[in-house]
Amino acid sequence: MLSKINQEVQVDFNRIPRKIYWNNREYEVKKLGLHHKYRVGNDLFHVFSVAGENLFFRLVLDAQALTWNLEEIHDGL
Amino acid sequence: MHIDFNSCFASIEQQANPLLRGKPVVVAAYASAKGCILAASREAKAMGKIKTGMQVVEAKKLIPNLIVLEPDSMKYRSAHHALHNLLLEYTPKVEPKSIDEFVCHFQNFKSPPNLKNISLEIKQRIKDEIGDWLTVSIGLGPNRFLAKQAAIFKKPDGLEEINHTNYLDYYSKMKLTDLNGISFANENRLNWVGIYSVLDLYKADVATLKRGFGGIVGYYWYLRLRGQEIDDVQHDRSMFGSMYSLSHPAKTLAEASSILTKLVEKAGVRMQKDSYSARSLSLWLRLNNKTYFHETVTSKEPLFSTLQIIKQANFILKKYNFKYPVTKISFSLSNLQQTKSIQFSLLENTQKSYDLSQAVYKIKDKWGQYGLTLANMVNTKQYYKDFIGFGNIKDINHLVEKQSFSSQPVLEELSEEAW
Repeated sequence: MLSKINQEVQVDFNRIPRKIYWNNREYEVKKLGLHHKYRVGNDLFHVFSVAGENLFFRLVLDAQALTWNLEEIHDGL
Repeated sequence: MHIDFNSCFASIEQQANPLLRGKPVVVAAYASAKGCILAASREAKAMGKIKTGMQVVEAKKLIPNLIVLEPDSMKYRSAHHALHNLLLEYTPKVEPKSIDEFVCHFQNFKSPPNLKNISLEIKQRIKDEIGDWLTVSIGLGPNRFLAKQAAIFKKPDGLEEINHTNYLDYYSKMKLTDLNGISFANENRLNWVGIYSVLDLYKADVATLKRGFGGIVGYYWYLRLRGQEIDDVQHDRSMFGSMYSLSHPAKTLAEASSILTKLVEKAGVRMQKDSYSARSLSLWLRLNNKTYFHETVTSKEPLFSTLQIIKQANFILKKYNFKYPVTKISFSLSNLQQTKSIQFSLLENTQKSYDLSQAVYKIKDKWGQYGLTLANMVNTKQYYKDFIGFGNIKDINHLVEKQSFSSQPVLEELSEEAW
């Protein structure tokens, strides 16, 4: 089931997100599903669709502010 | 060459979320029971005969554990651009036909390319460079129509060629309604003139086809089935429009007005971006008693500013008395003219209005669609989603960052930009 989160999170990043720190837990990224970008006016956002062991994360990097927003999670069910 | 993403929206969602792969997934306009299904994954199609256009509630009766997602237009536009860029490496003439379909032309090459090998390479590169879960059906043919028929012939992941050596074989395996453009109504008309199969259609003379199709269209079919290109037609932009189905019917002028204003804003920005003005505005309301309210007004002066258009659109809306709540609002701008060729009135200060609209457009270009918002639109963001039409590719460049879709780690540019 999909859940909207919309919270700023910390991310370990090396070419792709490697670890996500959210709700006092650490989630290791196992697979990058997709990376795409979009703009809102001049502002550029990178969207990383990544999966951990059994949870999917939609992470959005604000390329100006360099902040990560966890927009949604999905348990695949 | 005709290329078609298989189960486009659903496959892209499975590409993005690996946990959804191998599961029945649909993308629906809304995840609610009455949401209309836009795309079904190959698993959903195989398990429950789920079809585009079905309601979520009907689909869930067939597959209780169906996963329903709402569309993410930006993701699909990005996939479209990624495939477009890949195809441009093979031929300069790539024609997007819809969000998930392209036609590539390979005429006039010095040496004829081996299209089967190119097709296999494209399929592999899509897996390697765009997404390992994505598949396409490729059709090869002497004209657009036959290439598309070849692509439809085998789904998913097909590669078929209809050429001068095998066309009768393909025609013998197809039903009339398998042909793109022949509906059940057409089939009935063709039956009246003695055409019951695609082979009958191919063998029929022009006079019979004209009788069956009711005019020149019959002659077009005669040529199409003989490999002649008659579908190479470019249509000029004739309108800008937007439409919205309300999950909660609008009972008052204020409710409908705020949504209409947003629709106008969306169509107006696209019109301005493409440097057009309009003289005609049409408003179409579907009411909850299954009747309609429709009105078109034509203005003497060309309308290019969103503010002018909003005023006119609301003027039409006020003519409806709201006896029945509104369930769907559709708005369009037509009678278009390029803004470069507008002759401004001597009597009204249209230049000032034009300059203002350009300034507003520039602010929105820099700060985004909602960078500058009219007061009566402040509360409407929640109502309006960014939808993408299957056939509408004219506006596909708006908003998306090109060359930006991949399942590969592609972040050299991000590293430079960000750190």
